Amino acid sequence: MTLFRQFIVRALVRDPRRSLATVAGLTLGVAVVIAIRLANAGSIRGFETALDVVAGQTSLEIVGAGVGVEDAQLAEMGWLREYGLVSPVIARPARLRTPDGSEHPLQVLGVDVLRDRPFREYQLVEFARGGREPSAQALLVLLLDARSVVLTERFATRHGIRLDSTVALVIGDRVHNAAVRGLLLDEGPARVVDGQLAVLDVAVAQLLFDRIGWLDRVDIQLHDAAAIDEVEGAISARLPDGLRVQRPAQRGRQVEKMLAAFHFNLTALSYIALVVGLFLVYNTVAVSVISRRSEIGTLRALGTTRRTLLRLFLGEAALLAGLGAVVGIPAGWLLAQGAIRLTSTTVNALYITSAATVPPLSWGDLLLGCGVAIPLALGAAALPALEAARVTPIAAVRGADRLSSTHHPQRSGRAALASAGFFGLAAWLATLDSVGGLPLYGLGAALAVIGGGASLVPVLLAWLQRVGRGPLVRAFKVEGMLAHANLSAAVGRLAVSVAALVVSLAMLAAIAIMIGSFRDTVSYWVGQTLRADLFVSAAGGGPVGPSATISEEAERRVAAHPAVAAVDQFGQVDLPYGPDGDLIILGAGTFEVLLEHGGLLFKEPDDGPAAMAAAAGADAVVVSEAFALKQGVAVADSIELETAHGAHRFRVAAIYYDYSSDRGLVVMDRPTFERHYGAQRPTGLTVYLEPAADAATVREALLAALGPEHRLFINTNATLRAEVLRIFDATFAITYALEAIAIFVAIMGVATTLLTLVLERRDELSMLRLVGAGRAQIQRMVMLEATLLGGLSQALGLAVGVVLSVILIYVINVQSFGWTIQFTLPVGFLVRSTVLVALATAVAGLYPARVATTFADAEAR
Amino acid sequence: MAGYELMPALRADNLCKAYGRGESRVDAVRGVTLELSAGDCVAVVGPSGCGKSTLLHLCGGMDRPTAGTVVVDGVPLSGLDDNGLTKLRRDRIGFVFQFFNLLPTLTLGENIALPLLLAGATAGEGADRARVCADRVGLAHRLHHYPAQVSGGELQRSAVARAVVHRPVLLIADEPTGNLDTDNGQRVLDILRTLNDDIGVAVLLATHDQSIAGRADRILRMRDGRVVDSDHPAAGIDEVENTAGPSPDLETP
Repeated sequence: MTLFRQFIVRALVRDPRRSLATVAGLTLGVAVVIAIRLANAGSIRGFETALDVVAGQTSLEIVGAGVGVEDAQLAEMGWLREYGLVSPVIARPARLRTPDGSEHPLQVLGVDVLRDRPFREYQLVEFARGGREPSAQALLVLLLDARSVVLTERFATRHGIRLDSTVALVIGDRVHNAAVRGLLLDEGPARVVDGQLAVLDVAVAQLLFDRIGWLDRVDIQLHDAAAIDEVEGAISARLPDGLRVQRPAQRGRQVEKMLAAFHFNLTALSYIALVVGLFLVYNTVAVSVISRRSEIGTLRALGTTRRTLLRLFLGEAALLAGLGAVVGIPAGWLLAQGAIRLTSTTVNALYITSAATVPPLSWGDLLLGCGVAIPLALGAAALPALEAARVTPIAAVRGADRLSSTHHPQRSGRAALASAGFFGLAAWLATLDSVGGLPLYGLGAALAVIGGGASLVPVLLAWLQRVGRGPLVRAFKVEGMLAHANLSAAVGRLAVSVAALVVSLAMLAAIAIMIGSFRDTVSYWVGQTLRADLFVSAAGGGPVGPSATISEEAERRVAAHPAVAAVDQFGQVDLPYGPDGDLIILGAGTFEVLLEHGGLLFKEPDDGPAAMAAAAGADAVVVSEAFALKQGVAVADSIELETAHGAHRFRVAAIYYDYSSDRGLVVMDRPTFERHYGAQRPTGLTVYLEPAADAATVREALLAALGPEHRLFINTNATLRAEVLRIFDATFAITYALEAIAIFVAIMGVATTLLTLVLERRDELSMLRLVGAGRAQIQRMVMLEATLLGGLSQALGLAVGVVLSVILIYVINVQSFGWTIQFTLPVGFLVRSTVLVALATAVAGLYPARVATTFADAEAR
Repeated sequence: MAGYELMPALRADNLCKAYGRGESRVDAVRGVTLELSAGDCVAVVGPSGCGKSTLLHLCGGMDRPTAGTVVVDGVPLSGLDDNGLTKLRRDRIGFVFQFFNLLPTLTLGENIALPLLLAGATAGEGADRARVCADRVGLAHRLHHYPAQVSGGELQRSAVARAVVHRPVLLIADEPTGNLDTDNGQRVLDILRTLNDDIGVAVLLATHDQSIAGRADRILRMRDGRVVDSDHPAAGIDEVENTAGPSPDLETP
């Protein structure tokens, strides 16, 4: 330990810049891993917390397929009381307009106060001040008036809402004015989604949400909570067709599963920065060993064993990694705040609407940070540490061994063979199916491509050694000759850090190609399928859960405009599908109108429109590509869907391309939907205008015609397309952010490698100065080396990136999300990134270049 | 030739060099004056730590004196900035060191041509001139070998060829034979003397070896940073032996 303190710790303290750079690189790596873990957990945490708190003491819940539970059905299920207490619930999203005119999303909970008391605790502020709880009657008085609402104290305080003031609830397209009759203390259900909760009487909620006669679910609190398994089975057996019983946590698990692929891909990406950071550890320990060979020799001469030396340098890596983890873990929590903002747009647009918050750090995070960073750092340091252990006393003390590490033509055959092996492995892995919806083999194939690319680095450097001299001398004269000679002599040392940079750049190129291709595909798809002139939707509602509906009156006013040629309704509900209960989207539209105006892009069969036309009115559906791929469904197959009247089989008439959701869509003709699920108000309208009409003008006219009492969002074709691409770009913002961090760390790696080489060549540099090399010439030489490394890395990175993008597009993406993407090369981006990388690596060479001249000057004296 | 005064290759006046300040101040060179004309060969001898290497560094423009002046080929070094000193070393001074200091990544031919290439010569010009110089030191057949592939004697002969490839007026050699066996040491010295005679380069060398010092035109004996004696070899050889012997630690004050 004393030797470690004297020999390693003091050296690290004496060279603070290098030590700090390494710790900073590792800190970034650990921070990114922790940040993504926390952001992933946080994005569903809001949803799960809301679920837990709103569920209260609920043990089981009864839900209907797609459309909910009819009041009449509940009346017939008096037997439920044998098992426990029963409470009917309406739980739907709405918006609340505050006195200052701003609108805020909130969750409306419609309950029967008398029956709901045992389920959830309602602590009203005015009663709490008197030290007592409100009686059920007191609550009933508050809520029975259709013009009353109870909000949370937290929400009211934040928005300056006082008791008895009037607020506007925006539900679907309707605006409902209500008086705030009570404020819930910041406890129990009031803590849900940051206090964004409103409580109404269930009957009032049914009225406001156009759900008269229907409930969203029925909560059950068991008399004997321990017998839940048994009771669940018993209830399930007695339920009428179209209803099922589940535990509240089931909804959380469905959401978790829905997000699994998205989170899995982010997690995989987050490890790149850490892996690249480990190259910094390799470099730092290598620098330690190289710059202190004579000291190591002295230690060996004085009797230090090889094992002790190995331990010393591995200890250095562990110390650096430990510091990186200790700083990186809290830094990760801070970074997660930004990451969650970047991911929330996607999560909210595609998966769940929830107020995402970063969970606090746990011991698990500490274990993850240290458990990942330290062992990997030890692995990275093993090579240079072994080199230190091999140093002989005589060679190191003489300093003569440097001269013997000379210019041998590199034998790159083995590396080429390894590379071919990796690429072969990748090709095989790419043909294997996903595991539980996760692209594990696809990821394996991507890793094999990365391994293949990294193995090509020595081959590339050997090629530079063979053919690079002539062109470099012609272009850069003596500096070119020296740079070529230096790089050629250091192929072994360079291979590791160049490989790190190649891997990062390949990932960047692959991701850029994937995103560029995806964007082009989506853009084309939007252009083909978004044919209507106007798209009308109601306020409120998220991508999962009940959607806000459009009232008959609003639809009538839209259709009445003289410029409107046709209006189609579109409705959608969530439906569990298959043995795992995957939450798919069941859509209802008028096939005839969709065929005439919709412009769906069919994947199968060849004559998709004819197949869809034949399916109209029949028990047949068209399904999205994501649904077909994830559920293994082909045209002419028959799929079983839960309906209001029990399970029913539908024939798959056609498969169409869709990029709006990776959950999978099943679309049926409206009459078919109504036959199986009952009539439902639409969640959206597509409006086709007369040829001469101007969409923007009609939009304004429609908004005026709807008036303040009907609150609808109307997008023109152009604004909706722009919105689709905005969500798209927001989705991939985090991808670029993670990649940028990885590249930054990789460029730091190149800088430290060059520094290693400079340290190793300090005697030669001073000799160069003595024989007449100017400072500028030495700087040019080092920067040329940096630029050459950057250029070669980018060239190989681009080539490997293209291969990697093929795996991303055709394997990982298809297995994760079920989307077909047309491959396109974003040439502009790739050219720009190449120039940037060349510049960045040249800049990264500045510090080693400066150190080189400093050494040269110092040694020359 | 009336009115033409031959310019000395090196003139150093009252050179002083001190390191550190206050109590930790060490005077490495104290008031040394010397002059070398073209074709001179001067050996500096003395015990370790007497200031030989520091004196050579000051004369070669590798370090700046605390006091005194150095003029190389008529150019006062005090008036030169870093670029000027670099250019002077590149054009008018050659260096040979104990540990050869060749670049292991370049062939012997490239190492020899390096000063010319750094001065802007083309690769072809450098290679031609390197071949001539390699031939002079008997290494024409080794031009394409790397330093690790040749013997110590050959390495030092390459270093000598590199030191004269640009036709310097002054050649500074710090223990040029210190890392060689006797035969190779003598061979390197033969080459140095031949060059000294043939091309008229002034040679200033530091050595511990009395037989090497004995072949110089003049011997400067140093102790504690001062030149304590200046002699022709025939007269001073015994004293050189004595002064070069014991280490400074063992010397009595």
